[in-house]
Amino acid sequence: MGVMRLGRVEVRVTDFKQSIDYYSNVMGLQLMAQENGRAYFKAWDEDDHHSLILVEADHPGLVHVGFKVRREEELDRFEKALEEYGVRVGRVSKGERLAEGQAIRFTLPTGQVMELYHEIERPGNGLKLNPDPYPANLKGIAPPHLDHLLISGDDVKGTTDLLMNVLDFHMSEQVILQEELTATFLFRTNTTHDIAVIKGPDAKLHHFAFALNSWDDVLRAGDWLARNNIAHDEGPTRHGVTRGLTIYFFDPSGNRNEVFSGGYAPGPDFIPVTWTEERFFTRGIFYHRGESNERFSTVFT
Amino acid sequence: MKPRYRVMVSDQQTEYTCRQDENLLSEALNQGIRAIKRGCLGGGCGFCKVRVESGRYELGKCSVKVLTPEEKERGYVLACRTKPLSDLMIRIEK
Repeated sequence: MGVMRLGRVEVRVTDFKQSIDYYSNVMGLQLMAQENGRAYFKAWDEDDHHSLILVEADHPGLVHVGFKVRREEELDRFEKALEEYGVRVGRVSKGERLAEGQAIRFTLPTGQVMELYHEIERPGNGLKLNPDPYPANLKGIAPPHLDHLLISGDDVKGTTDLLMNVLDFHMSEQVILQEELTATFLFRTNTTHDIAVIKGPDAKLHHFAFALNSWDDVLRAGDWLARNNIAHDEGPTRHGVTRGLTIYFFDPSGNRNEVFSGGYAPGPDFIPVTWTEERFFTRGIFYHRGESNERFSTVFT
Repeated sequence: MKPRYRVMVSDQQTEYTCRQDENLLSEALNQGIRAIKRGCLGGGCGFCKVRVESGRYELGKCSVKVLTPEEKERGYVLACRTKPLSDLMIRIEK
């Protein structure tokens, strides 16, 4: 019951054609369709029609983030709960975007548009009957699935409170600097985060991330990014926060991407980890290097 | 071969050359010149914003959120999206 997972991110790109090429051949996602100025992608191990939507615009950034709920009828329940909490909720009709059913839409205290939905076409991953472990035609980095995103805004506490108290997200980690809640890492799946919220400019995106299975896959992703001259940001390295293995880089429009592997598997009763000014900037962000770069800390789209 | 132009960084006493069909940032990086801050290299983040004090250039597509029309008027550019059409004098403003 409830929110299952991060289902989709819709992002703006400034060069549609170049972005489609990058997400197809460098990131290695499957282009499912192009319609009405949008391109729809899925990662190879996902069953749903898409997890990434690109739309052309004059600046990069996040259009909306969608979380998938277990049952269609839960949309009514969440709509009511959100309105009781004091959030205005709108409806998105079936078919407003390709392959999608209806959704409820609202704005988080940090300014991002979030949707909850259940219905979406399900072509499957093609590995359901006596399957091989992965498809034969993979190219590029080819992550199996979309993993999480990190959003920014002033009201970290507000967005965290809404996600935890109305949508029943659980906290894996929090950053408290000078007694102020600065970042939270929240999950519905048994991973370290499906969404994270950090103090910063309102309504912005820091990155969205795809999952990889091992350190070796992260290293190979780094090789592939270098070979294709993709703008690198940080890594391959380990985060102190979440223990995850990571590389950060930029898509052709300046949206930051991450490939992420590892971390731990928290349950709903996990006791959250806390980072403070004592160790967050040195061991929390990039565990090995002991410092973050200015670009990583200040660039949001 | 396309012509090469001089790019002078006025506040850092640095100078390098840039081909007409290359952007100011990539060419600096290629030559190991670390005067300009590198961001996303996609005209999206504004990290490489500099001001052109003199010279002619061609500016490609930039995010309107990080380079406003007013800034363009005043000679601000994103180095990753700027190709020289003459010798240039640029200033890195912190």
